[in-house]
Amino acid sequence: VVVVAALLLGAICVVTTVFTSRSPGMWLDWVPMFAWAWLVTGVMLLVTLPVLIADLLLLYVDHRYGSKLFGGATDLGGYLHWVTAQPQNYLYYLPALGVVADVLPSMAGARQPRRIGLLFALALGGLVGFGAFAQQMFHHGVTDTIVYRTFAIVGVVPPLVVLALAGSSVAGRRMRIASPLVWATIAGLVVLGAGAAGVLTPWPAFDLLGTAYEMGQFNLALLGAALGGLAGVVYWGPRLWGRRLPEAAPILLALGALAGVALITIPDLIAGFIDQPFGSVDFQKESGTALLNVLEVAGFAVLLLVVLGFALLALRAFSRGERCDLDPWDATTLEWAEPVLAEPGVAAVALPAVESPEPLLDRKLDALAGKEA
Amino acid sequence: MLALPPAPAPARPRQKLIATSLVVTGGVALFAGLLGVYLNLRDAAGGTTKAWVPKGVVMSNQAPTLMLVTMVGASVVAQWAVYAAARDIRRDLGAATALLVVFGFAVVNAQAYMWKNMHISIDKQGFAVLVFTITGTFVVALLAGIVFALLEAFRGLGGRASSTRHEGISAMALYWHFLTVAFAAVWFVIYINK
Repeated sequence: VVVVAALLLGAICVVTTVFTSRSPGMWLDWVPMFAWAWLVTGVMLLVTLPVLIADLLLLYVDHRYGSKLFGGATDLGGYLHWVTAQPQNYLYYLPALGVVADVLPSMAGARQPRRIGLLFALALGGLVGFGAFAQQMFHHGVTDTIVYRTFAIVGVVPPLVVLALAGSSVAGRRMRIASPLVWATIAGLVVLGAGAAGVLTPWPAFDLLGTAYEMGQFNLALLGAALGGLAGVVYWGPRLWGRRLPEAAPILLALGALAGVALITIPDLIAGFIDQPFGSVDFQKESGTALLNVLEVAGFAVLLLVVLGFALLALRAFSRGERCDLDPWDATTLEWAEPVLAEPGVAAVALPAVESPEPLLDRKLDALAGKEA
Repeated sequence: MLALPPAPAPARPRQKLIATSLVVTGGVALFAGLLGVYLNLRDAAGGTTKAWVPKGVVMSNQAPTLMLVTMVGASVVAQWAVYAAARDIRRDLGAATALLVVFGFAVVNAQAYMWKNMHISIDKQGFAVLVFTITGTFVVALLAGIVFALLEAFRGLGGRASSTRHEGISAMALYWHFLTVAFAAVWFVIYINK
């Protein structure tokens, strides 16, 4: 309960910041996509995580005093399963989609294509991430309802739209393959995989509920979110610490992460189709899923190595690496305009005036036009 | 690296009011979750008071209804505090917040009376687990409201609230309105509908 309450306080801080502390002139539909994604995620966490607190309180009190209501500790996981299952887990990767929607156009030096489409796609992602209603222990048969199935199908739309729109800003442009671009693209693809996997889950013809397939879908969602976070570190690290990662190693790590995620999730998705139960791992040869489970363990080992490698690389580069230009990506979003935060001890003198959704890009294009003239 | 032109200092953001409205949103979801489980299990038990409430349990309507009236009064008093702060009437602000705290403790007292006299046993009845958890959660939320009222009273009486800056008092009043609505739901579901 305390951890969930802490998460809620964090969500309140983020949402309040986006609502109240924007630069002067920045309308709510002009905020960077990462901030918008966090706004949507924060609001949706605020209306779903309190339901988790309600469940936890009831389970705790029942467990502490006689276990008359919910049968003690035997099926706690069943009561809390909705928090990790779809559609609730669609919510967890929205910030990663925000990273994708910011990084791709920015790295291409392009405007956000169809900005309103991106905003609506992320908002839709929040809406279909409302999973508090899908508590199977209290609402038997909820997975057969039209609402649940609609959410499952629509869940793939936000990652698809974000990747398509953000990708269209990159298409046809000559650009450097920089590490943030690779990390963000991989995170976006993994998230798209989570949304696509979720489409199949509720249909009786596939009989995937309660199988390892659900675990595979959850792992895709969670790992997509984590990769999005690492993409954010690669992209905003120079802004935060004034130093940047070397170029080649993070790209190799990103490809390693993709391999790890594939090894973890694809065997689970396949194992679901051959009826391996959710949460059960069998290494016996005769089980038919032994090889899949071995591959999954190998995937976790690969991912662990990638995370350790990334942590070591980031620690070294951001603490002792060479100082870099304050705008090493020639980026277009607002945070790269403010010149003072990366230097400790120097205070910002004023907030920048915002007169368009991409004021820094406007400024850069003006400067370029001035040079050419 | 390019810099953008500086903007004039922005208007003071209403962070406390917005953060409180988000807390209220979370609070509504919390009570919706608790009462949703209660109604769900009641429905599974047959959906009637007779089938749901264990024998021997006494749940009179008098004390809870009095608590609801007190909560409605607390809402009115909280709004009086906002009115007083918006007009720099410090004496009324002090009186309103003091009355709010008294109302709050009166409701806590009435709830304790209910717990003592309902004749339910938390380690023997699932029904009791639900009632104690839901009403207990409300009491915790109410105690938080009392602390909020006391803090804003001290700030207001210490000169930190004025006709131009009384966002904290407004936020506190908003929270008390939420408490009233939450108790109205608890009152109807648990004490009236049972």
